[in-house]
Amino acid sequence: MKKIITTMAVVALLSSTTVFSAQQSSVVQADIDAFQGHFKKKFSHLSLNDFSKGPYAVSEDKMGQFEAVMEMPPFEDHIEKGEKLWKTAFKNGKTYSSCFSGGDETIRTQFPRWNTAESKVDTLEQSIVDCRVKNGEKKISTGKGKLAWMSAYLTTIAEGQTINVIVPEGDVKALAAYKDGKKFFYAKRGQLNLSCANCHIDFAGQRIRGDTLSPALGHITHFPVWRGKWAKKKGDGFGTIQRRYGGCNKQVRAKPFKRHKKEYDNLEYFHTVMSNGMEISGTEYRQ
Amino acid sequence: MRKLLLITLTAFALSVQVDLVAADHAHNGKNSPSGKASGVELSVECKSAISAASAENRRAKKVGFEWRDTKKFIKQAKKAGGKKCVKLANKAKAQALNAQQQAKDQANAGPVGF
Ligand code: HEC
Repeated sequence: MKKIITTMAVVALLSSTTVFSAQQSSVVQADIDAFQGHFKKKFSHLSLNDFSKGPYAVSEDKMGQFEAVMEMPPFEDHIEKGEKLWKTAFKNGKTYSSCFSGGDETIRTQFPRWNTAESKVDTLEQSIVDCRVKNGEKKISTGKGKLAWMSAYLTTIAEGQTINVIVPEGDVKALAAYKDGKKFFYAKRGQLNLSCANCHIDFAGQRIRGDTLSPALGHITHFPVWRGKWAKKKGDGFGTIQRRYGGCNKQVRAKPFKRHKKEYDNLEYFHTVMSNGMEISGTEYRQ
Repeated sequence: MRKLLLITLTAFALSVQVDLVAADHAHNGKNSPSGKASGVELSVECKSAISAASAENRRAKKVGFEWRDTKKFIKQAKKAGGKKCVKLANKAKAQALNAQQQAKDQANAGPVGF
């Protein structure tokens, strides 16, 4: 009898882990290998995790600027504010953590995640807003402000966690969402007729006005970021990845999409999968 | 003193009323096809150029390729009136058509060279 119970327990454990960690779609894995292979060849002096430094990884003089700012990060107060907000209980006594599984330091890398039941991509930021609503609190605005601070706190404590976004093998709808995001990334748009890939693959490492174009690999390891440019405008300098998408769309004179709708959620899915295997580098400064 | 207060109050009440009427007009102006809140009638050419541009831009939006400034040009056209209106509306329409063509051209966009 004891043996049967142990066997059953082992079987249950095994099957639960297989359900939990769905296998990566082979189509997607081939894309990841080609994408990362391209960058490793183009910038052969960089290690995989070096790519998380974006424009600074491919420009030595810019790297100096980055390191100087990161010695005394101007954004630490806001990360602390984010931590406080994250840990403050709702009126019903529950906390944000109650909406998520695993330790807080693992939450960042659980997203973006395919939501099988609703056939859509869940992002971390939208899940935080949904958590508030579920617990009887008001929505908060996306892109910057409180939501960005909380998200930045989660990114900070996730430093060193590995990105491993899964498009489950055999899930047609998940693959369609991924492909939708992929097409968004490669499609030229706006009056300037440029795609994300034109700037962040083809021209990566080249200068454009005062900027050096970052490689798309490692784009998402450090978001939300604190940007000098955003701090000069109204606001505190923080912005989420989808705020950045809006900015990059506007740069080519394309009309940006609303955050946390299908377009940018699918883009975030594709964009993040491409950096699978990289580590979260914590919240960082950007020009 | 009392009289003064009364006069001030009346003046205040009247000015509020005037404001409301003005706001009402502006509101109507926005919704009516004649466009301009200032009451200047837009020409038939202007109106038809604007509605053509708007229709094409809705198509561009529907396929997910609307350009950043197209709506701005349509707004400017309404405000400008006259000859400038048609010019701006046509510029907006040309953008919207280009955006639709872009959507078609990019239907199979994907990586190049790897
Ligand atoms: C006209 C060129 C251009 C296009 C097209 C463009 N970007 Fe950018 N992007 C920039 C520049 C310039 C910056 C700032 C310097 C940098 O980090 O590359 C930037 C920054 C970024 C960053 C921040 C990287 C970091 O480490 O902070 C992300 C993420 C990004 N772009 C994503 C995208 C996506 C996704 C698209 C397509 C929707 C896109 N970009 C289209 C020019 C472009």
